[in-house]
Parts: sequence; structure tokens; C-alpha cells
Amino acid sequence: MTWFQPLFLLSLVSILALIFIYLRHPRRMRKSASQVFLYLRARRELLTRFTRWRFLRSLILLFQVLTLVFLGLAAAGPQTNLYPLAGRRCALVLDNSLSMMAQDLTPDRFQVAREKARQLAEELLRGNNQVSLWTLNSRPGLVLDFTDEPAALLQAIEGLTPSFSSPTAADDLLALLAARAGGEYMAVYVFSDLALELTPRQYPNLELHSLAVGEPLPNYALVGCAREGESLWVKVANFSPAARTLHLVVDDGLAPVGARHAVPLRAMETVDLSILVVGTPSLLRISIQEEDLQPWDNLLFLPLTAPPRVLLVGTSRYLAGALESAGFHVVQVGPEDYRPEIPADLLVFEGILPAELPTKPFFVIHPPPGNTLFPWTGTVTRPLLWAETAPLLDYVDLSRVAFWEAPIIKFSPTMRPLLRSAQTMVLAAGRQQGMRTILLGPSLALSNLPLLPAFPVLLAQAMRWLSGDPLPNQPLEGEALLLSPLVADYAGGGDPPGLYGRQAADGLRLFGVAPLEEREANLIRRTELEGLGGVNEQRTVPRDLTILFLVLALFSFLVEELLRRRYD
Amino acid sequence: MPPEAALFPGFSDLFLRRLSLLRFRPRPGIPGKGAGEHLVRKGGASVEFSDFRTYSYGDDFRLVDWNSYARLDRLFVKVFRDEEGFVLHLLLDRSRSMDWGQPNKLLFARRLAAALGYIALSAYNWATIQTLPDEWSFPEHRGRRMIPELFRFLRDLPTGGACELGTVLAEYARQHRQPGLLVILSDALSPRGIEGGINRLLALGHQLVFLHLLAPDEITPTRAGEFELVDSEWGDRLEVSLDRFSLRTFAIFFERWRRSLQDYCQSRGVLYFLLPTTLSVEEAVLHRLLQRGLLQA
Repeated sequence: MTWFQPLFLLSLVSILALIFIYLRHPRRMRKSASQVFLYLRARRELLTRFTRWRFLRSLILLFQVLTLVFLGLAAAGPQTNLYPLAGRRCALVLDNSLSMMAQDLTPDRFQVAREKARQLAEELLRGNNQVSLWTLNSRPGLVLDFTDEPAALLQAIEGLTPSFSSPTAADDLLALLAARAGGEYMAVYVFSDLALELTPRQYPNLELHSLAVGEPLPNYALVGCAREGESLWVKVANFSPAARTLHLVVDDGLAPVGARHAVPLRAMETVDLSILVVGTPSLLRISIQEEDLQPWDNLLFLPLTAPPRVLLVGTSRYLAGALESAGFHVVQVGPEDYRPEIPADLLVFEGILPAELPTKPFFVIHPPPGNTLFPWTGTVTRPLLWAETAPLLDYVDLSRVAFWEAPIIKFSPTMRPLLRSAQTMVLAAGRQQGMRTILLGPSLALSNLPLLPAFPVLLAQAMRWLSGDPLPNQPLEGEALLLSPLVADYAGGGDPPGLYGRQAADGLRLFGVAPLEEREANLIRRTELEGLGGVNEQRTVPRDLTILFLVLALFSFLVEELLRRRYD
Repeated sequence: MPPEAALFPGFSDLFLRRLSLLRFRPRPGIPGKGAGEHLVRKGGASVEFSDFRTYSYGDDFRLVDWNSYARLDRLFVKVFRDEEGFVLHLLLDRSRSMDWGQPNKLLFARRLAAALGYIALSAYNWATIQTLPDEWSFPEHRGRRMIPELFRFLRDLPTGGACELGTVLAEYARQHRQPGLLVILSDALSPRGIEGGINRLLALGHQLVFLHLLAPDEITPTRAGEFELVDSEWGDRLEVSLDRFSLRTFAIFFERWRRSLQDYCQSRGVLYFLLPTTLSVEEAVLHRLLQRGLLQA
């Protein structure tokens, strides 16, 4: 960018002229008079009797007010929505870079932008304009030259696909557009999520409109991570148009685990890493080194819990499969092979209950008749069940569950019934000898529960509760939750910056909200953005109006000054 | 050469000689005070014939008009007017508003007062000067020998403070009940007016002469622009924007104000003289005052 641009110089001259005239403005000269009361009476008479004199005073005051108003408007940095006029040459530019694949808009930013571009193209062609189509990515180019054929243009727009590259070539694109315009006036409509401000001062014949699609993504993000045995899988993305190196820090909540990991990232690059973790800590946290963070970076921290190691004492294969599908590391042993020394975080006993209770949380399914902890007093056939309201049973559909036979078990007061019949309690949760305990009385072999979708859900939630996690608080479908706020106290407009999760039909979708400047925050709110279908039209060439208002302020000031000079 | 000329700056020998030939013409009815050169109505011993009256026992035979006796065969006695002195009260406004203008109003007033006092004293009348505000005064004196004292008083007279002219004149009327010829030298720039004070003086029988002294820039201000006017006497401030139009309007307004004061004076028998400070004292005294009959040669 060069400072020697005509509009910039004009605004500079306007400001300097305003300051100069203001400094040179004649102040009221103090003058001794033999009396003032006659002047006062004369002035009153002038104001009441002579409209011309009153009009002159009002005119000066009017221009003073106008000067202040124009200065205020210029300081506000106004923006305009300019609608396409007829008979012009226009260029539609679609950003098809990687960040446009973000799914904070449905289905994603690129498709929303493409749809809006299509609508604008139709509108422009109705206005008898000549429209060309361009793409913005790492290698911007002309897709379709100026045309007034709607079919060809719409077909070209529909044919655009994401390029999975970075939109680093904005300057090159502008140069191309200017070259294609050939010195003639051209309106350029850019559909992009770039947080960059495009100010083609060196191309005064280009009238640039930036059509914001979605919100700027954070520059850096920890997209995801997972535990893979002894190593940690991390996915890091750089949504910035500049290449940088990030250092990742892994810690267990108290001290770093291992060394820092340098991750060189090119612009708009996503990298998968595998980090070896020494030991088996139950909690791992990964974060970006603080020195690498910029104000626009995403400060996402994903707390990671190592998947609990579950020792299944029993012979049911479906039980092991359900536990594994819920993400647990399962070790299955037969009842005769059970030893208390076998390392495990959680234990599941099926049809067996050891004489010596384990020192870990455990889940007992169908305890044997002669046990002392949950003694039987009889059985009940085909019990009629009803469920208590409990978080453990959220999302568990028990309406079609049936048991052929259930033991009548005497529960200790430390156990809370969750599923019961008139004669006995079928499912209970509580504590035994200080350990979290869940008991399912009937045998799974005499029930249809393992065949129902409720089974893995119940099993997963039960194991998660046993491992100490609070029960999930899932957002409703479509609802967006702020999972990781970027700043503690956010006073700006719009949504607080941070990582958001939106519950969709097929799972949780993550998206980031970067901190916005106050002015932008006042203009664009995410909710409003969604109301507009994800596109907020605003022109990113605001300074022409600023300069206009500065020049108007100067003009008004000059007129006021000339009126004053008439008195000298 | 009269010795007084050197005592007051600006006065020439010729001017003083001319002044010594002038006399005040006070209104008949102004009471005299001691012998002097001012003719009064009542009978006296001057050479100015006044009337005849029938001879009565004890009259001086030298006053009998023998021609009338020859024609009418009755004795008539010729009556002559008496010559007395009178008191000239000079009320000199020396407030801060008088110390203003180019030429300076107070300087002009001091010269004028000196000239008038000189005329009074040289005609063997009484003269007193009271400044307004009234910390300084020149007590009643008569005779030419007091002229140097008068000149020194006026020459060393400093500028006073602020004063409300109407109130001060009323106070003077309360202190001086003996009627006399009273000459007020002032710009009359008093926010509350001077009419109240003049009324009080007239009520006591004083013959009033008002010498309205104004600087040319007061009568027709010419300097336009944005000003913060500061009242030289009261310190009041007023922001004004003066263009040609408003200056002209102000001049008209000022003239209207002055004219109303003049009309007021004339309606009450007060001799009113507008004396811009651009006039010389010689011109003011030898032409304006002489022509309007306040003075006579």
C-alpha cells in the first residue's frame, strides 16, 4: 500500500486545511468601551427588528453546526450499501479457499456464498450489466469473462468447487481485475470470509464490495485430538493467510508431559500430529504455547481424558462389544481368571461377585444368589418396570425393555433405585465401601435389553458415571453452546469470541467466533447473519465517504469563515 | 501677559485674554452673592437704568428725573439695577467612562471647566468645582487671584472610579440648596440615566447647563469585527459582532438616545450643548457657548 494516493492526499489536505483555518480563525478581540449598555440595547433591537441581521447570524451558526456534523460523520467511518446500477461492468469474485468449507453456516460457507452469488448475478443481469466471474484462492483466475447471458453465468457459478487452498492472492486478484477493467469503471463483488480489508486505492476505477460470508475463523485452532494407545493424535489448523510455527504443549494438569512440539504451518494448512505420551496420565491437556498466540488466535484448550481401562469379568461377547463401541479400553477375563491385581480403572462383573470387593468403581450385572453384598430373597417373573427420573437414564429408551425373571434383592440404603418393579429394584446406583457402584439385578441372557439401542447408551453413561465424569449436558439440536470462551469478560456486541458447538442431527459441529472490532460487532451479529442466510453485504471501501464528509466539513468551514470575513 | 496661561497646558495668552472679555449670562432670578459684575433686577447702584418709580420721602435727590418733572409736574426717581456676583457650580464627571476616547473626554472636560472657571473668576464671580464621583472638590472662591488655584486643581485631577450619575447629582442637590448656575460636564453614560438627578437640581431652582461631551468613536463607531467589549467604568463584558450594517444601526440608536436626552433637557429648560471632543476648547467656548447665549461678550 502506498500513501501517495489521491484520495488519501485529499483527506490529508482537508484535515490540514481545517486545522490551519481553525488556528487562523480570528478570536474576539477584547476592546475597551466607554459603555456597553447601549450596545446591548442596540443589539436587542437589531435582533428583534431586522430579519436580515438575524438571518446572517443564523447562517453562520448553521455552517458551524454543519462543520461539526460533517466532522462527526467523517469520524464515524461510515459505510454504504451500494446497489448495482444498470449498464455497468461487474465482476463477481467467489472465495473458494479452505476456510470457506467451515460449516458454521448450513451447509457450508462456500455453498451459501455460491447461492448468494447466483442471486446477485441474476439481479445484475436484469439490470443489463456485463458480469464476469472470478475465483479467489491461492491462484485467482478468471472463470468467465464479461457476459450478459444468464444461463452461461449461472452455469459457471454452479460449476465452481472448493479449491482447498488459501486466499493469499487477493492483491494479485485486484491486479488482474484492474487489468481486465482496462481503466474503465468496474464494480467488484467479493464473496469471502476474509477478515482482510480490501482497499484498492491503487485502482481507483474499481468499486469494491466485500460480501462477508460467515465470520472470520480464528487464525489457529486445535481442531481435534484423541488418544491412540501411548500416543496423542492432534489436528492443528492454520486459518491465517500467513505461514507460522506453533509450539504445542502437553500437560496433565500439573506439569508438562514431554517436550514442546514445534509445528510449522503453511498458510491455511491443516496438520495431523502424533505425539508420544510417557506414562498413563488420566488427564491430558494440549495447548498452543502462549508466546505463539496472537490476539486473533483461537485459545482453544481441549481437556482430554484418557479412556478408562475396563476389566470385564464375564463371558458375554456383546457386553464387551458394547463397551468397546462406547470408547472404552476393555480387557475381558473369565470368572475363574479374575484376580484383584489385574490393573483396571473400572470393573464389570457379570454373574459373579468376588468375596473381596474391588477398590475401583464397579458394575455388577446379575449377582449370584449366594452373595452377601446383594442377597437374594426370591425371584419375580416378568416384572412390570418403571423408571425413576435420573440423569443416568437420559436418552435411554426403556419403553420396550422386558425381563423374564428378576431376583428380589435386598439393597443397602446407599443404593438409589433407578429402575424398579412392585416387588424389587432392577437397576440401582450408589456407593459400596466408598466406591461408585451400579447394580443390574436380572440376567441379560433373560432380557431383550442387549438387543435394544438403549443398551449401549445405558452402558456408556453408566461407565462414564463410574469413571467420575459428570453426566453429559448435551445441547438441543440446532442450539449453539459456547464451549470455550476466548475472554473472561466480553463487553462487545455480537457473540462472545470462543469455540462454539452446534448440535446437529448427525453430531456436534464446532465453529469458532473470533473477536470482532467494536464497529464490526455492532454491524454484524451472528444471529442476524443467520437471518440473512449467512451473507451480510457491506462495502469495505468506507473511506470515500469519510473523505467526502471531510471535504464537506472543510467547505462548510470555509463558507462560515467567508461570512465572518464580511464583517471586517 | 497673564500669569495663568503657563499654569494650564494648552491655554494660550490670546485665548485667556478672549475669555476675560466674556461674561456668563445667568437666568434672571438666580440669587447673587456679594458684589460683582452680574446685574440683578432689584435696585442698585450700577449705571444700568432699570425703571422709574414715584418719588417718596427720603429718596436721593440726585436720582430725581428732572425732565419728567418738567413735563409732568410730578417727581419720579430713576431706578438702576444692582450688580452682584453669582456662584458657578461646575459638576465635572471624572468617572472612568470619561477617561476614554480619542481625543480624551476627561482632558477635554478639564480644559472646558478651566475655561469656564476662568470666565467666572475673572468676572469677580464665585466658582466651585465638584467632581463626580465626589471625592475631590474645589470650594467656592471668587476673584482672579484664585485662578491659578483653580488651574492647578484641574491640572492635577485624577480619574475617578465608577459612579451612578443620577444618584450623585441628586446627592449634590441635597447638599447645595442655594440656587446657582450649575454646569454639568459629562458624557451621561450611566445605565440608569441622569434624569432623576437633573429633576432634583431643577426642583431647587438651579439654572442647569448640560455640556454633553462625547468622543467621535462613541457617536459613530467605525471599527468593525468580532469584539468582546469591556465597559471601562463598570467592567461589564459584551460579545458583539459589528459589521457595517450593525455599526450604522448602532450609530442611529446612539443618536436616538442622545436626542432623547437633549429633548428631555430642553423640555425642562436645561441648556443642552453637544460638544464632541474633536472640537477645540476655543471653538467650544468662543463659538458654541457664546452663540447659544450662555456667555456674552
